[in-house]
Amino acid sequence: MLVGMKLAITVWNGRIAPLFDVARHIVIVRTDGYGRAAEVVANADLDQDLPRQKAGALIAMGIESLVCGALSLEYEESLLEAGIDVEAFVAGDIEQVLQAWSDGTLHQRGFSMPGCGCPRHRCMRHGRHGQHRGPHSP
Amino acid sequence: MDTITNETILESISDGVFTIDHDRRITSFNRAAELITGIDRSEAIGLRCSEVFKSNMCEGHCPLEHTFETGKTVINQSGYIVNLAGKRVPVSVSTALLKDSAGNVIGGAETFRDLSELEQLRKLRARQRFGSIESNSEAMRKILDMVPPVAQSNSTVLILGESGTGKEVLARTIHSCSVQKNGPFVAVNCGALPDTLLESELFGYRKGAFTGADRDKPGRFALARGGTLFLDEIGDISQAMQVKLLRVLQERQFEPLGARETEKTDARIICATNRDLEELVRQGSFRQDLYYRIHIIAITIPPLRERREDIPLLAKQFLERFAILNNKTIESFSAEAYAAFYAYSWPGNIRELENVVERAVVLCQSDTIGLSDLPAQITGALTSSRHGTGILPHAADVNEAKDEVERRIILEALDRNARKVSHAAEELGIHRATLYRKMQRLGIES
Repeated sequence: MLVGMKLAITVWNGRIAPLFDVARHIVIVRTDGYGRAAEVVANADLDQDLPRQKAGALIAMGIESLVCGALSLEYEESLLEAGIDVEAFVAGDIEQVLQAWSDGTLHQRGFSMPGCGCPRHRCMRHGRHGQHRGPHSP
Repeated sequence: MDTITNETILESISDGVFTIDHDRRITSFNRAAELITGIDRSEAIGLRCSEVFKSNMCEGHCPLEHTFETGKTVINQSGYIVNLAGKRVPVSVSTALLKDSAGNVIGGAETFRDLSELEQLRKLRARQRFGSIESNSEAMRKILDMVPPVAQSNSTVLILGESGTGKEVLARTIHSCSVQKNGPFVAVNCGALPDTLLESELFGYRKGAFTGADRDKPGRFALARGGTLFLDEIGDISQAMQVKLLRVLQERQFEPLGARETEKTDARIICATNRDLEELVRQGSFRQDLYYRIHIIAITIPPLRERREDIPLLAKQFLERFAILNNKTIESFSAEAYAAFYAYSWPGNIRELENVVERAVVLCQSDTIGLSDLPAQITGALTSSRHGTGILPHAADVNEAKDEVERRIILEALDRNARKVSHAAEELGIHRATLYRKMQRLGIES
């Protein structure tokens, strides 16, 4: 039997929060065994300031994967050390991002923050975080 | 001024400038904005400014939002943006409303300046100032007056003083004023290493000298050529090492382990210890000939409790440094905090003061460090002083009062550490042997 997991998305004004370092709220989503977003479990505060505190709070909530906007290296390292899979530099409306996560289309240009151009930039960072657990992953 | 001129000006300035409409979407993005953010204007225009700018100010402290709400400009608000490499870029931001010719608000403009270079300079300055010595104390003034002539000679210097008084800082100051100032400053803590390791550390070794020596390794004497070698905790080395060190100091040459030939050294030697070397010589645990070899110019740094007039100066220096390193804007200490600093005996000396200030900077949530930001042992000193228990009305003279204060501090530290001398010494910031010596002198049983 395939087991789901908990995914967190930083949220601000109905969209992905622009900067994880100072993001204060998350939406927690449970995924099904195929990596599709199944249900929104909760909205939660993430008011910790320091990198390890933030990563620790996510671990305490049982989060295994995180979708967020930009983040600085210190925060990225803390999340990776904590074993959390990170999809960073994502932008967009929360509902649409969730749908894209389920469909495995999150890497499309429309969900990427501007920079060196999607999918190149996001894929470059994605490679450092391990594999996306969406339905199209093996 | 026509449009072409406006654009030319915007393109030529080094500050980043972007404008947004009522939906907070970017309508223009100048060349400097491209350079600072790393984002091409063709990608930026039309997007939400928060998703292009990616600043710590966007969520909750947006200066442009403030300007839209109040109509007032924001000038030089500090913050940072995160670039595509995940690096924080410090910026200062100013804002203004954009109005049409009829005075209607049509959007907002934000200018931002990259402060990376300025920030680096401030940090560099903080580090440099830390390495220098400033003092208001008469005792320290006499020592500082000695530094220039001592630095110009090549004689061996012995620096004495309790742990945490700044012996290495003084050694570095002497080095920086000496003719060898462009050479290396190499420091070795002799007390931290067992004999065999210390020997290979000081003299180096040749490939094959012992199992695991798979290449030549130069020792500290070799590394310090043309500069200064600082031998800290010299009072803690064994008799066998004392003999080897004496030979190097006398003959200015040494043999790396496994080498067939001798090597020469021209390094200026500065030694330091927190132990009473004369007493060690009397006890027979430190060679008299080595003592006289290193005791050519001796400088004793007074403990912080004997130079309390330096506490504000030092505390301020540490505050500036840690505020910069922790990205905080803390201006000063409250009068109560200074009073607590004065009342405390500082057994760990300047190092303890430095640690207390670092902790306070981390904890402080305002622009002034107060009593609540200080650890209990510091505020406790103020409380006991106010209640009279910290003052010694029956002490016959200053020395007796000092001894009584020292005795009380040691007894309290021992109580807190289940009578374990090594733990108490660590808490007090002094060497275990120093604590034993003090306990013996003050009649405290271990």
